[in-house]
Amino acid sequence: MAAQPALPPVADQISRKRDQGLHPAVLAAGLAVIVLMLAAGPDYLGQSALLELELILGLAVFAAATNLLLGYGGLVSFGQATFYGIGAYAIALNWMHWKLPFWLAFSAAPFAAALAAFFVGLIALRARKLYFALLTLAFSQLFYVVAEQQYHFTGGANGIFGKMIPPALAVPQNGYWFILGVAVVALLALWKITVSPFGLLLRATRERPERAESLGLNVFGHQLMAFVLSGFFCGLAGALYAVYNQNAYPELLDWVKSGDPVMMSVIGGMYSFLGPVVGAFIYEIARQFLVGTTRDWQLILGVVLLVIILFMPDGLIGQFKHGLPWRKGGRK
Amino acid sequence: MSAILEVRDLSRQFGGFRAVGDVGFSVEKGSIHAVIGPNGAGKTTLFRLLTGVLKPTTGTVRFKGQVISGRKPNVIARAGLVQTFQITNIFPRLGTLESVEAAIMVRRRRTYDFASFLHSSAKVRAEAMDWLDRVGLADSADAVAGTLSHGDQRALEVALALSTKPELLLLDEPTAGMSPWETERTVSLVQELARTERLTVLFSEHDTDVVFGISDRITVMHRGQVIAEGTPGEVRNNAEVSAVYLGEEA
Repeated sequence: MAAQPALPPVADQISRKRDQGLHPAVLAAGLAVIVLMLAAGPDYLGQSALLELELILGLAVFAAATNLLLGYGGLVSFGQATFYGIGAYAIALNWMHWKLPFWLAFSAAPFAAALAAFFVGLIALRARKLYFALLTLAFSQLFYVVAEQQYHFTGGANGIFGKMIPPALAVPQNGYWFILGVAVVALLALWKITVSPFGLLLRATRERPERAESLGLNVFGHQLMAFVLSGFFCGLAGALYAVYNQNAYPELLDWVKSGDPVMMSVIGGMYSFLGPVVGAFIYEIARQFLVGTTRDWQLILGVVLLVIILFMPDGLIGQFKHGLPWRKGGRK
Repeated sequence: MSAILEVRDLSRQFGGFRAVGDVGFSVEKGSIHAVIGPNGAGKTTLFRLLTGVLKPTTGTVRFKGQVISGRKPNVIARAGLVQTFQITNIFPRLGTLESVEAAIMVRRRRTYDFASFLHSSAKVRAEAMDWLDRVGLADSADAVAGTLSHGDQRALEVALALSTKPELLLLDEPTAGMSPWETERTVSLVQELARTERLTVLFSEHDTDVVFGISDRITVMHRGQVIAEGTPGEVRNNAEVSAVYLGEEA
């Protein structure tokens, strides 16, 4: 059995009543407005802002997919970049070697990542908590080394660069809309998974896997399914990266890259669906800003993360739901 | 009467310690069967062997005529043998109603259902509410399970097991830490279910009033072995039981 989550003290972690966020209808309307504003982006945003958004939208899918394991399944994976990288490489390798139509490669990319996730999960999920994290990390490095060393096949450390997307997508606006559309559909699908019976039982396995099992649930099978689904959407996010940047290189598979969606989830809040999405926006925008301002951006990021982990363990969204400290009736 | 559960020569060795040794007994379908014994008698280990959490060193367990010993816990639970835990084991950060809905989803084999919206399933919700109502938790449906009082968490524990609609329910000290009123409520619920749904109940318990009040048969364990078995009257008059068990308790 994998994972025996160490539960934080309950009374300290959650408010007595369940989530007190916005009314669902208000939330849905607000999100619809945001999506429409994003869709109209080319009308009022410059080229660099659109490119930045393309990157962030892909990362938002990457983070939400990773959080399916982290927040919903209680499974800390440090290897989700493996599947992100596979998604990007699927498009790049196809362009370099097989020359099949781009759309075919784009559709196949998430499935290739899901297949890899199936085999990684089959092994890693047999291990307990910490060893699960280490095994996912080990697999991540394995794929990284293969991508780096198989020079003739993968282009080695340089990666693969080139016009790997169809001319229609190379038009900046089209590329942006395509990425926005795919990201929105992917996030909706991921959200749907979290509110389904599968999602509920995934949270049950996070809480007490042995209890879920004693009710008749195949916990290993359930976690493996979550791992494959997460891999699928991480792969899709990686494919979006290839559309955005038209390249694939070994660092996409690296464990450092795997840390990004985990940090985004922690910043935004891993116990809410939108947490990682919000986290992706904050993380990437802050990174861009800090990189331009100081050489020690990683130091500042580290301090910010530390503050969030210590004082807002449920992330920004979690903090908002619990009631902000200065709001009347809010939690201390 | 036919036996729903047959235990034969069941042993479990932990290193040099024999927690359960050559235990044999059977549980009649539709009966309420108690396993009693002083602390450390091997009751919890026995239950873990029955539910597949532990594998027996030797011996067999037959449930509805099929050998289940050595099978996985979720397979045994699916077959209809479900337990509650001595140490409260609920889903702390799920809602109370949600927890029961989760158990119902497992029973209905909808664990890989991605398509439906759980919260629009009025049928599932109504059934979950019904179970909460039966254990007296209807008012706490929206509470986070981990914030319930100890007694209410015990009740939720029972509701979780019941909502899987087991044929044989194993209750490991169901009334431990319950108030007298909660104990009575739990006991009458178990009795009612045994009568109306032909549910078979095997339970371990320290409260002798409960044991002698509701059991059809009692198996007495001491140091991992069965030292007596019979009706409450037979067990009450058994000299060895008095010496070993009731004597220690008094």
